[in-house]
Amino acid sequence: MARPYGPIPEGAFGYGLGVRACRHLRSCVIATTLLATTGRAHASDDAPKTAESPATESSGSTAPALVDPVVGESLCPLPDAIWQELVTLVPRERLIARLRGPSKPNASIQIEDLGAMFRVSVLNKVREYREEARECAYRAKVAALFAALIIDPTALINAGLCERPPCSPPPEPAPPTPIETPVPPPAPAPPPLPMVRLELSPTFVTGLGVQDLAAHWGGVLRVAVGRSPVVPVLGAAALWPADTNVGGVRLRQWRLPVDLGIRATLASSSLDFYGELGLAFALLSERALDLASAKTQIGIELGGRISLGARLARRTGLTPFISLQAEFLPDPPRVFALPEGVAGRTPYVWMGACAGASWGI
Amino acid sequence: MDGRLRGRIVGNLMRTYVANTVLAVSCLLTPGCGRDLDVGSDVLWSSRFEGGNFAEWTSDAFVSRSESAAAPNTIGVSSERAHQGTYAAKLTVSGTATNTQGIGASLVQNGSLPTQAYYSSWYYLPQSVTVGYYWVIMKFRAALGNPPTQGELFDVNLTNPSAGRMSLRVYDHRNGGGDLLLDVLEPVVPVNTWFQLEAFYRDANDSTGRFTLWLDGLQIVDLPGSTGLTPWVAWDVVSVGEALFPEPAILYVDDCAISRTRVGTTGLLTE
Repeated sequence: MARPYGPIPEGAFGYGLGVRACRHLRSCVIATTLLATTGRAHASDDAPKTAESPATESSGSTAPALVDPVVGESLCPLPDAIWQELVTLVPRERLIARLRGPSKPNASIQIEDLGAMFRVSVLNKVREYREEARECAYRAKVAALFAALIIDPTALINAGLCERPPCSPPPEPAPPTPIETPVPPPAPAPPPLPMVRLELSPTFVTGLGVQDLAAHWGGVLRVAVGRSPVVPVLGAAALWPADTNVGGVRLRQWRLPVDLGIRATLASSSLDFYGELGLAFALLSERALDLASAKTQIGIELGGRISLGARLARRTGLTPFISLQAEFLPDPPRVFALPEGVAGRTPYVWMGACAGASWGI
Repeated sequence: MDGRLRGRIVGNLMRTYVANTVLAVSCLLTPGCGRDLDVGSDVLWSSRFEGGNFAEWTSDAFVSRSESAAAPNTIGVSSERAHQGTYAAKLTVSGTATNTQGIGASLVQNGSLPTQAYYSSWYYLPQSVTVGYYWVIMKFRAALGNPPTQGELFDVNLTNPSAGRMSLRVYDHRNGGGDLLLDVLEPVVPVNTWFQLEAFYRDANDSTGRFTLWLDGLQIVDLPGSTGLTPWVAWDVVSVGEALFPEPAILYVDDCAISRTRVGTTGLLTE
């Protein structure tokens, strides 16, 4: 991106480059244009070489010395005044090089005072300006501008057209002021996923496939360990006894289920969903209620377990959760009673639900 | 709920949990734990004769029990036939003797029997027998009359309605006595095959009393109404008959049971 006041390096021209930049560049250009359009131009390529001025060689100098670069019988403006203006526009060395170059004949800028007009001749270019007020300083500026345009217009453009006094160097651009834009504070790093997640809840479990569905109420504790999306999980439940009926034999049933599996969690912005798959193990106690001689027997259940759950997406602390689970037992224990014999089997499927609190640690 | 009741409930639950936990641990230490859960039995008493004797009849299962036979009748345990296992009781009665109650071959349970129960026994007839007068193989006795005295109530008899064919009739001793009308006319009793007679008897001096009889699982009589006047009940597995041919008449008996639920033809008396 262009910088309107970009710094220009100091040249080797021996003067502080007031032309480095100009605060009035725009007004200068406008003035120049105005002069160019209002001035009565008499430019002619084949103008007589009246502008040539006597020149003396400066021995020992690599560049020929310009003794009188501006010559002419002019009182207004004076040749020296034009020169003083001109060196503010074009570097001196460049003026000398252009007017006294090795391949060029020595030339001078000629100025002629014509009363209400004045004429400037530079390198075979001649232009007359009407200026009836005879403000000599103004005339000197105009003449110098014309000469600069002829001698080295690029330098003039690069330097900028300035009025006298030379443009004061633009103020150093203020160091970039840090803009106090309200930068949002960096988002706090999310707390790490909990290493251990404890879940405690009341639970309801019932067995399917028996005459009387046994409704077991109790509590369940589950522990998931690890921070990855798939972690091991261990659960155990303590259930109240419940009455059921297997093959006509009324039983008081009590279960102590334990399971071990893996949990895969799918996190979202508001809810974390998870599924579990694992092995289910349970101690099953059955006691007959109506038999003449009743015994309490302990059985073992072994099968698979699947569970689906969801909890509010909070990484740490307490958050509520719900889950559903099913345990599938391919070979549940058989209930045996006399004289019936094998009355049936305990449930092949246990369904459960729980809702409680999950604690990420 | 007052505090004492609440404490009692909690205490019972705690005891249940402790007991179950102990059982669970012991179960885990036991090979084969958990496959079959033997939760108990509704069989109050049974006799399979597998001891080769009548100990099951003479033990203290009930107040009074007996096995008896008066010569020339005999009763013994035999391995000639068995419904299950090795042994069965063999009851042999003379066809010409005047066999009356207490003289034939009898296996008796009486006194302190439940007011309602199922009574089951398996029988085997090695051959067809011509019954000239009667042949009782199962009997219920109760307190009858005024004042109540121990007396005969129902007799289950073998009959042969035609040559070589055996059947049943049920005789009710009350009101002058007579055969009950059966649900199945002349039910067939197999020969050379074990068959089961099972009865349900509820002793009650009102309409809640009931007597039901199944032959090989087929109900042949169901008689509701008053039965005994007191809770006293006797159940006999007997072989008492007169005018039986050929003599002696032989009857095998096995797997007798008194239970709170029906044994049926597929029931088990042992694990």
